[in-house]
Amino acid sequence: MPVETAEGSEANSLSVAREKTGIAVLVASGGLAILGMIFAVTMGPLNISSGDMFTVLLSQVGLANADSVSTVKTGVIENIRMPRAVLGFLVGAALGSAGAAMQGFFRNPLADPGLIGVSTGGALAAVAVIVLGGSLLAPVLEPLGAFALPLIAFLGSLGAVALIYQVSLIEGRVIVATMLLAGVAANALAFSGIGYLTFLADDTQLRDLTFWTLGSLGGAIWDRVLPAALLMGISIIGLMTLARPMNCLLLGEADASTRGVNVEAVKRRAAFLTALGVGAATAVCGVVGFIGLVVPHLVRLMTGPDHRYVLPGSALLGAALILFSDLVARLAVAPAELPLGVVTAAIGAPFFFWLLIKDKRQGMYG
Amino acid sequence: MKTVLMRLSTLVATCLFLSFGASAQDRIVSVGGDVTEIIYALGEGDRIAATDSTSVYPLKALATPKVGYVRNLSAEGVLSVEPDLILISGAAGPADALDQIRATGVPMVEMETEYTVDAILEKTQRVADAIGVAEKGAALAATIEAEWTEAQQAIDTLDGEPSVLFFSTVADGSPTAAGKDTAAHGVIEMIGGNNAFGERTGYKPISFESAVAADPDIILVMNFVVARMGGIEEVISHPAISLTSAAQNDRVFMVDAVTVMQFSPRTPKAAGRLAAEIKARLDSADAS
Amino acid sequence: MSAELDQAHVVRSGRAILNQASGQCLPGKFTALCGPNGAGKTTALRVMTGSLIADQGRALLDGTDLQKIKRLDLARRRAVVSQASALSFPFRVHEVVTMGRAPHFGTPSQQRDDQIISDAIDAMQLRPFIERNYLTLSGGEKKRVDIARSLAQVWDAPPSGQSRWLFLDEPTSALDLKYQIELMKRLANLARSGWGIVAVLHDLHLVHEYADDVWLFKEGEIIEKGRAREVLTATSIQETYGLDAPYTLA
Repeated sequence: MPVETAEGSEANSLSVAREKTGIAVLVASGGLAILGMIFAVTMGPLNISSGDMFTVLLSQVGLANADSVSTVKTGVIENIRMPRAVLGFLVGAALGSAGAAMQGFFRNPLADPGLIGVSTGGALAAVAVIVLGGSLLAPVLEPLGAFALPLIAFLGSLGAVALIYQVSLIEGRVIVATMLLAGVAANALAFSGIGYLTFLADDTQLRDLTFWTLGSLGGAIWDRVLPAALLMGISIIGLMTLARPMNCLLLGEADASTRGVNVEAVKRRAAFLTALGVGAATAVCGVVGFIGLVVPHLVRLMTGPDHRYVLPGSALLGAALILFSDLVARLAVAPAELPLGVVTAAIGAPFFFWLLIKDKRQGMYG
Repeated sequence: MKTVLMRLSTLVATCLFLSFGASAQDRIVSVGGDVTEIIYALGEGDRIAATDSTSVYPLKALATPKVGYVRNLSAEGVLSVEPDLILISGAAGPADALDQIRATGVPMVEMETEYTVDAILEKTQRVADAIGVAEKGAALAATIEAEWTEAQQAIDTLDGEPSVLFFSTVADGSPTAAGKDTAAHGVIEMIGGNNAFGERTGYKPISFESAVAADPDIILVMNFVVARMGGIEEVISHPAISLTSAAQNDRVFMVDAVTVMQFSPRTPKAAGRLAAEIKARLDSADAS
Repeated sequence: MSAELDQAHVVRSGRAILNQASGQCLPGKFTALCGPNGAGKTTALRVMTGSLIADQGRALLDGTDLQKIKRLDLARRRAVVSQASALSFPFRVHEVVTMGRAPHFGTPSQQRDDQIISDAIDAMQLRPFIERNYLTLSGGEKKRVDIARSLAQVWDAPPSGQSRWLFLDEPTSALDLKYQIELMKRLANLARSGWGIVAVLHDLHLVHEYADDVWLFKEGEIIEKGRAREVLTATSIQETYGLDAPYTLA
C-alpha cells in the first residue's frame, strides 16, 4: 500500500520514476548507437593500425594532417566505412521510429510499416528496375545511372502509400481498419507482380533480387547516402514530434479528438513520414525486416508505452541494432558478406524472446 | 561416374535413333547458348526446331522459337515443339521439368557443367555424336583446339599469375563477385589468373572494403554491369573501386557475357583476345 | 451558461434521426438523456459535444456556437467519457489519468498538472490503483479511471461565464449494481460542486433517484424535458418506450 504523502507528490514521484527509466533507456540506446558507429568506422576487413585510424579521424575535423597515411586507407575510411556507418545509423533510426509510429497509428503493438504498403511499393518498383531495367525501362533508367534503383524504389513506396491512403479515405477521414485491409490487398497484388517479374528474370537478375530482398548496406557511397540521409532525417525528426498526439490516439480516435488532437492531420503526417523514411531506407539498402516490428517492442518492454520515450528509443536502438548487425555481416565471412536482414533477425529475435519470457513472469501483459 | 552415365545415355539415345531407323533428327530442341552455337558451328542449324532464351548466337538462333529460360524450363513448353531430340546444357533446370521430359521418352542428351576448355571440346563431340555428325564434330573440336593453342600464346605473355577479381554486379547495393565453380572463375583460370575471391563458391556478395583489401592486379566486370553504370569510366571512378590499384592503373576490363561466359566454341578465342588486351594495357602502362 | 441544442437536425439515409431538437442543460445539474434505442439520445449527445455536426441547427456551449470554438479550447472546457475503452497498450492508471491533461500540455506548470491529476485520482478513489496496469482492471475500475481522466482534462477553474462540462455515453453499462450506484452518486456530487453533467442513461430507476433533469427521446424528438421526478411519470414512460401499460418507478 502506497503511503499517503502530500497530495501531489505521490503521482509526482511515480511520473518521475517513469521518466528516469525512460531517460536511462534513451541514454543507453544512444550510447550503443554511438559505439556502433565507432566500431563501424574503426573495424573492417582491411587492416588499419590504430595510429593511422586516429590520424585520419582527427583530420576529418581538421586536427591532424592525414598525408602520412596511404590514400587507400584514407579512402577506405572516408569513402567506404563512413558513408556506411552513417547509412546504417539512419536506416536503423528510420525503421525503428517508423515501426513505433505505425504501432501508435494502428493502436496495435503488432503493426509494422509494411502494413501500409511501404515495402510493397518499394519492392515492386525495385524488382521492376532490376528485371526490366535492361530492356523495357532502359530509356527511362539510362540517364539516371546508378540512382535508378533507389529513386524508383522510393517513388514506388511513396506511390503505394498514397494510393492506399486514398482508398481508405471516407468522408475525408482515414479509416484505419480499411487502410490495413487495403495494405494487405496491395501486398498480395505486389507479391504476384514480383513473382511474375522473378519468373521473367535471368540468373544475374535473380541474384540481384535475392540480395535486394535480404538487405545490405554494401552499396553505401556518399553519392547515394546523402540524398537518402536527408529524407530519412526529415522522417525521423518529424515522427518525434508526433509523440504526444500518438499517446492521445492510443485511447481511441474519437477520444483524442475530444481532447483537442487533430486526428486526421496526425494520421496523415504519420503515414507520409513513415513512407518517406522507410521508402528512402529500403531504396538504398533493400528490404531489412524485423527492425520496424520488434525494436519498438524491445523499447516498450523497458520504458512502457509512452511515445515520448518509445519513439526516440526505437530510433536509437534501431540504429544500434543495424550497426552491430552490419559489423557481423561485414566481418563474419570476410571477404564475402552476409545479408543484413538475416543478421538483424538472428541477433534481435533471441533477445526479444528473452525479454518476452522475462516480462511474462512479471505480468506486464496481464 | 557421372561422365560414364552421360556417355551411356548418349550411346543409348543414338541407338534409339538408329533403331527407329531412318532419318537424322530434324526437330532438335537446343537448350543452352553454348549447345546451340555448337550445332550451328557444325552446319546443322536448320535441324533446330526451337531453342532457349540464352541462345542468341548466331543471329539465326535468335529467330528460332523459344522454349523458355535455361534454368526455368517448362516441360510442356519444350515438348510442345514435338522434338525428336533434346540437347541440354548442364545448367538447365528445374530438375522436375527435366524429369518430366525424360519420362516421356523423348531422347535427351545432357551436357556437363564444367568451365574448362576440355569441357568445351567434349561438349562439341557429344553434340556432334548425338546428331549423327561425329566426324564434323571431331573437325570442329580440332579447330577449337587450334584456336586455343593460339590463344595460349597470348595468354603466356602475361607474366606470373595475376590476381583477378570478377565483379558480376556493382551498382545496385552490395557488389557481388565470382567465387569458384562459376563461368567467371573458369575464364580467370583460362587466362592464367588467380581468382582473388576463390575461397568462396558461386557468386557471393563482397564488401567494397574487402575488394580494396584484396587489391587484385586485374578487375573484370561483366558487360551489362558496365552498361548499367554508364561506361567503364564510371566503374573506374566509383568511389570505392577507385581505391584499388587496379582502377588507378587502368587495369579494369569488360567481359562480354555471351561471347566469353557461355563456354561455347568462341570462348577460347575470346579468352585469348582478353589476355591480349590485358597484356597490351599492361605493356603501355609500363612503357609510360 | 448552458449546454444547448438549437433546432439540431441530423439526417441519415433519408431519415431524421434527430428531428429539430432543442433544449438546455444547466451547470450544477445532472441531466440524463433517456429513451429507447435509436431514439436519438446518443446522437444528441454527440452534437452537444461537437463530435457530430448537425445537418441543420446548431449546438452551443455556454452561449457560443460549437463551430466557433477552437478544438483545443473546446477540449479544455468539456470532456467526453465514451462507452467503450479503446486502450490496448499496458499503461499504468496514473499515466492514463495524466493523458487527460493533453489539451493543457505546454500551458500550466508541471506541478499544477500533478496536483490536478492527484485530485482527479482522489475524486474517483483510485489511490490504491495508481500503479496498476489499466488492462488488468475490472470494467468498473476502468470506467472510474476513464472518468478521472476526463475530470483531469477540464479540472481547471473556468473563467466567468463558463462552466466545467462532463458528457458521458452510457457510463453505467456493464457495471455491477454496486458500481452503478456509486457512479451515479459521484456524478450527482460533481453536479452539486458546479459541474455540468450530461449523460445518456438507460436505467430509469437510477435516473429517477440521482439525476436532476431528464430529456425523454422518442423517434428523434425530445418529447419531454424537465425535472426527473416530475417527467418520469408512469404514462410518459409508457408513451416514450411504447409499453402496453403505464410503468411506475418506485
